[in-house]
Amino acid sequence: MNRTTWVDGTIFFLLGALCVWEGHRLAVTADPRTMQQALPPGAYIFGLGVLLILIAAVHVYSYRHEVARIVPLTPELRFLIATIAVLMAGYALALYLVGYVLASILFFAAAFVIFGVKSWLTTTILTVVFVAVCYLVFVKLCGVDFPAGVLLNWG
Amino acid sequence: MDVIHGIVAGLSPDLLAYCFLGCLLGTLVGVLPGLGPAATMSILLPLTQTLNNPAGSIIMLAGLYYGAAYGGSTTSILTNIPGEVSSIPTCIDGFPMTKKGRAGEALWIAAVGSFIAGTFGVIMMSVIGPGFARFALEFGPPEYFGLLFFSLITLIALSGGSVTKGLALGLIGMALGTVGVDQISGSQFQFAFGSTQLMRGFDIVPLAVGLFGIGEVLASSEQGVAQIYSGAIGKMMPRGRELVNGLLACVRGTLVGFPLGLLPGMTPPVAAFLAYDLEKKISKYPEKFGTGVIEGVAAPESANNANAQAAFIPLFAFGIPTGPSPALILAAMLMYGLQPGPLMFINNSDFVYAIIGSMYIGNIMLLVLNLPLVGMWARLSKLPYKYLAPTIIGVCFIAAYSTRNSMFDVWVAVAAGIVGYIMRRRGWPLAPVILGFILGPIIELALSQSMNMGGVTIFAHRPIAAGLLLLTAVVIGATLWLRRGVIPTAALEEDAANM
Repeated sequence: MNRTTWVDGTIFFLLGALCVWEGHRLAVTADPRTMQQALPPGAYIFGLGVLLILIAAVHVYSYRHEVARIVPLTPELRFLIATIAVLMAGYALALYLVGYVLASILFFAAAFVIFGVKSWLTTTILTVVFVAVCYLVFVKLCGVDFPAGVLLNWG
Repeated sequence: MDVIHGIVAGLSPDLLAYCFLGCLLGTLVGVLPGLGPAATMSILLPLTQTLNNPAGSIIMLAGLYYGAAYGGSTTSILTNIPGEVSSIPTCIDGFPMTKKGRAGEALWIAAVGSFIAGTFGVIMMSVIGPGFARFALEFGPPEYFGLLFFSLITLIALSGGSVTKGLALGLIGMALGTVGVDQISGSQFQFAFGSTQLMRGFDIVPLAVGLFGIGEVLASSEQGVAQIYSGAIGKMMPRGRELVNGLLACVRGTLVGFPLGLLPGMTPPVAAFLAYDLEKKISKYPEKFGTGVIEGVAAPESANNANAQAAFIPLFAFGIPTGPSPALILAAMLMYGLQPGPLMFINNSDFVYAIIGSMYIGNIMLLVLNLPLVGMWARLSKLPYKYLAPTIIGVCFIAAYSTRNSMFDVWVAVAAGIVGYIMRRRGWPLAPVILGFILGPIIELALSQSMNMGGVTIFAHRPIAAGLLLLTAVVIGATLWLRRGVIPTAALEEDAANM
């Protein structure tokens, strides 16, 4: 049995089961007056869950012999992708803590280095330019409110 | 007369500027590998809200969508790297033409073919769009449910290599669309698990920005940077028999691409592959295809442009998107409180015709942008990804945050980006999730209204609704059969991941 198909099928099944459980919960806890509708509370989500479980079963059965076509990542690429993911999570956290300006300076500087910009001078110039341009375009021109940051309240 | 008024409205300085900006961005997105129209549109969605100009915003997003269909050909022809999946067939004969020193002719026929197809598409939209809308006025909730169900299931089934994966992901998208307040009774929170953030539900922008934008950056990080084209472009306009053959292929490509654009799931890449295959089949010299035949460039380029333009007819007349990019235009319209559908041509005719008028202008703009400026676009395609990637991520974060000024949405975008990357790696199509998310709540409402009218049996008593539900099964079967023979599965999977 193909492992990839099993993993895909299991994910679909679990999400289907979650929908069935939520649909059931909604039906049980619903206001009795809303149960008069032709499509009672929870029925739609319950139906989605049942369909998802059925499709998971059909998927596993249909593709059980299919050869997996996922090309494995090299350790370098795996490290790069993990680093970018961590960097993005760090940026989101920094936005919340220290606000847009400081978080973006840190993020862009790190991101340019990670994506392969070698020169520190180029990295610095690009960082300053991008943060300034984004601030001017989005805040001043488009009126977007950037996060101020709960710690430093910069923005 | 309405169209004339629309063109006049489209010529107003502000709408002209939005149209130009959309076409420019579309061409740029088409040229740059690793940045698709859906990703760019999802980034721009919250920004268009700040413009406070519904017509301008939709004109810009529409220009971006059909502009990307134009721009994708440049890199396909010059560097053998398709800027868009719909330009893959263009590579087959476009790049060999470049190697023979005929890049100019290939670029000329691609741009002129795109112009012919685009203009034909807008003319047809002006002519048959209102008729479609009048027909749609006869639709009640059961018919609307049938049409939505037909559209969603067909779109999902055609969105990637595996039908079951597409269907499962579409259902997951529909389930994501239910998170928050129960829209039917309004008395319960669905999938909230006690979280006040989840009680508000998910917004389309962080999901789309994450899946298409951030996910694309992560996936593109695995790949190299585009090659550099340094050769001569050569003379532009083909002559004699070549010109006639090229133009006839443009007409055939247009006639293939346009009707397909009216159907859900028949996205520009599908139309381009079918047009290329048809051109090869009817050619007197099929063995020469792949060696630099002008019809091999003209037909798919015309087909994908006619297809992109045709998608606006079901979008405006029925509120049905035929692919992820039209779905994002639908989302933008809903954000402005505009409900696409039959009444739109009556209640918002100025808005609709301003958009149609701007499309006539946009096609001329794109011709100008793509022919004289072809050298500039070719050079831009060399922009190193190390500069582009951090910028895309940064703008995605702003887009995710700015819709509701919520850090929760930023986290949703990051999570969706990582999930989107994993989905690409596993060959899971992205489009069904977004389509399910957008269409799911509308389907739920139509289903509830239909059932309140007469229970489940209502569908058996309404011929149009029953016919549409039956048609769903027929179209899936027929298109699966067509797709197996003509379009490479790998290309469809790439299309599904990049749209």
